[in-house]
Formats: sequence, C-alpha cells, structure tokens
Amino acid sequence: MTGTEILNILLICVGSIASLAVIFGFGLAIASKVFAVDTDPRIDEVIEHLPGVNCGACGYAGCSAAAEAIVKGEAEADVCPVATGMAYKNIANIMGVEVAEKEPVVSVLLCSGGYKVSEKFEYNGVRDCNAAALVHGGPKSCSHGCIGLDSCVDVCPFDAITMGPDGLPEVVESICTGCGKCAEACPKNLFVIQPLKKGVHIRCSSPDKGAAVKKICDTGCIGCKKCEKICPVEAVTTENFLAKIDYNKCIACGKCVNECPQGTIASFRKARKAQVPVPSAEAVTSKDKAALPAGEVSA
Amino acid sequence: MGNLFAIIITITFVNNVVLSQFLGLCPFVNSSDKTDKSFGMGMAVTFVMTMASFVTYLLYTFLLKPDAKLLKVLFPDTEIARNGLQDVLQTATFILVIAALVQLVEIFMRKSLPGLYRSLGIFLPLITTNCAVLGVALLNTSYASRPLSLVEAVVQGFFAGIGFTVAMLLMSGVRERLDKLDVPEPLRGTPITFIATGLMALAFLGFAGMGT
Repeated sequence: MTGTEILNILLICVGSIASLAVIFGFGLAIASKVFAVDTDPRIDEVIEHLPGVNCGACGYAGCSAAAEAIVKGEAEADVCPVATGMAYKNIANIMGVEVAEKEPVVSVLLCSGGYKVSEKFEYNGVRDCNAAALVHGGPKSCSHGCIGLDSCVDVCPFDAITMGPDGLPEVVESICTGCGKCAEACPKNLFVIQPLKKGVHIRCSSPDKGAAVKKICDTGCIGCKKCEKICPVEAVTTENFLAKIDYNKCIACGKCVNECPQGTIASFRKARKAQVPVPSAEAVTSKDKAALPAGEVSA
Repeated sequence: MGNLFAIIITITFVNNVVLSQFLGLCPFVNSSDKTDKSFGMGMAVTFVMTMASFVTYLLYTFLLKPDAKLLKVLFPDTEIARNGLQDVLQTATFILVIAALVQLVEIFMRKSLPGLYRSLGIFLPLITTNCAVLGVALLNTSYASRPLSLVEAVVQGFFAGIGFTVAMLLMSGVRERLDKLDVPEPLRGTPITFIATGLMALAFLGFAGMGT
C-alpha cells in the first residue's frame, strides 16, 4: 500500500464521518426545534441553589426531581434537608414564598466504644458493617455498639465521616448536613440527627445491665443515674440502664459530662459554638456554587 | 416472499436477539419489571433497530463493503475500492448512526410520551450502547449468512425489535407475578430474573434448527 493510498483512506474516513456527523447534527437540531418541550425556567434556577449531590434525602430521585417538585408546588421550598439557610431564602425568593429558617442539624453517633469494647471473635469477612452484623451481630462483644467497618464512611455523600483513631467513625460537624444517609446505613441504628445547638449527647445505646456493660466496654452507660441526679433541669432520665436526654429540656450546661463515671456523655458545646452562627451571605452562595458541578446521573 | 417469511420467523423466534443470542441483556433485565414500561422500551428499541438497519445498510452498500459503489466512483481501480472500508469504519459509523437515532427517539419521547420518558430514565439513552442494535446492524451487513437486499435488511431489523419486545413482554409478565411470590431473600431482584431468563432461553432452544 502506497503513501497516497493511506492518505486517501484517512481522508475518506475523516470525510465520511464528518459529513455523517453534520447530517445527523442538522437532523437532530431540527428535531429538537420541532419537538421542543417548554420547561419552567424556574426549575433550572432552583436547581442552581440546591446542593447538587443527588443524595435523595428529600425523598425525590435527585436534585433536579426535587426542583421540579418544588416548582410544581408538590414540595415545600425547604424540602432539601441538606441545603444551607441562604439557599432556602434564594429558592423561596424564586418561588415567591416565605420559609422559616431551618435549624442546622448534624448526625451524632450514639456509641463511644470502638476499640474500648472487647471482641468476641475475629471477623475476616467483607469490610462492611451490614455484612458483619449478619454474623452473630458483629465481632464486638457489645451487640448494640458500633462495629466500625466504615459503612457510614462509605455512604456519606459529603465525606463528612472519617474513621477515627479509636475505631469509631467521627462526624466532621462543619461538613455534616444531617441528611441521614449514615442513619439508614448503620445496622445498629446508632446515628441520630440532632440540632446543632444541642451540645451534649449520651454516646451509648446499650440497654444491657450495668455489670454486663462494664465487663465488655470501658465507656458504656451502666445506668448509675448520677447524671439524672445532677441535671438541674431534669432533662436526663434513665430507663433500661441507659440514660436519655430530653432535648426539649436540656440546656447543654455540661454538668452531666463531668459527673459521668464512665465518660459516656460527651459535650460538643465548645466545638459547635463557633459554627452555629449562620455564615455571611457571600460565603454561602460561593459554597453553593462550589458544590454544584456534581453531574446529573453517573451511569 | 418465502425468503422474507423465513427471515421473520428466524429473527423473531429461532434467533431471538435476547433469548438465543444474549444480546441487549442490560435493558432486558432493567426495564422488564412492568409491562407498560417494557412495551415502551421494546417499541423504542424496535424503532431504533428498524431505522438503524435502513441507514446502516445504505452506508454499508455505498461506502463500506468491498466494491462499494461510492468507493468505486471516488477511487477507481485502487486497493481501497477492492477491499472496502468495513475494517476501519464499520463500527464507528454504525455507532454514530445508532447514537443519532437514539437522540431522535429521546427528543420525540420527551415531547410526546413524558411518562414513559421518565420511567425509562437512563435506559433510554443507553439504547445507544445496546449491543442488540449494533448486533442486528452487523447481522444485516457484514455478518449476514448471505448478502441481503435492502428490504430484507429492514424487515430483519424490524422483527429483531419485535422479538426483543416479545421477550421483554414475556419477562415482564413473569416478573410481575414474581413480585407477589415469596422468593428466598438472596435470590430477590436480579438473581431470580437471571434464573427466569435462563429458563425462558431453554424454552426458546426448542426452536433451534428451524428456519435458515
């Protein structure tokens, strides 16, 4: 085969593909004009203010589906549990309605065991909590506690959860939006979504008797009722050897944190104080934009 | 006429694209859970297959096959005209044709059948990479057991789509009943669908050897 022939093949390949593409391109352009669908321009505007991560926490198939529902009036302007305060205002402006300001929420892990809980066997299976939970409720001696195999870390659409040095997932509260994906993924139902300003949490979910808890876990709630007694507003009650905080009463004073002999109760007050004020308008809109580019559907 | 009849029976039942040749399993498994959805998917695939058969056949005859007419005019008595361009250009041009047709279907469907458009979702644009469509286009042209005429190619394309629709409808009937049954948990969803598909393919094996 000579040089000219190769050149000819090249030319005809490029030429034929290009001419085909031009023909189809024009055909499709005409078709899209003929079959044009009138969409509400507000849908695109609303999509711009949604986070664009398609997490599905609102109950719709993704951010564009949620935007459609908002514009149609099937959903409230604040249907997105993930968006920031400024985004709600923008969406409400587009729709011409008012929304009450939403309280920022975060996901809290109600277990402080991690490596402090002994193991009843060595688990060598798939690194997934739901898989491990099928085998005698997981390798930890405490059948209510965190298994620590990263299921919540994997599922978090915002990368807000990392596995900490103590074998427990740590929620980075400045990133967490309280979408609740981790709560769905956890086989032990250890995550609760709490308002950010409620700073004190009892990080244990075991209703076992105190002696049984003490035997297997260094930081579990033993039901000693010391927190109940010291609480100035009677927000803490103990049932089934497990203390519970009534957040309607709790003033986050932190007295129970110091009193707890097991160190089960943790305070996030100091870390959270800096976050609670709503950031300035520019900061939020620029964050909105940065979160946007996530594609529609990744096939 | 007898030829056409043989082609229709062969491509619809004996060589059914899904159940005998195992082409296009992705939309088959994913869109066959509801009867109306699978019918819509089948019609979309049938349309794309028929149009693609027509266009790719013309492309093949005029541009790609050995001694193609257009090549003969452009490059008389050269090796290009003698060998044709099917080795270099066939896949690229066929996929281009199919992609354009799928776009057309999508534009049309969004306007006229928005409900179906939403329920098919991502699987509508994925017809582009549906191997059944490309497979039929190839069966019409370079992989045909004997050279076909344009009418035969279009009929084969259309009835390959009908065969696909038949398989989808059968499967959706099975799956709508399966939903109500107490299937063992590990087999629920895709696994039981695959098993049912295998059993249906066994039934279609009964046609083997018939036709051409």
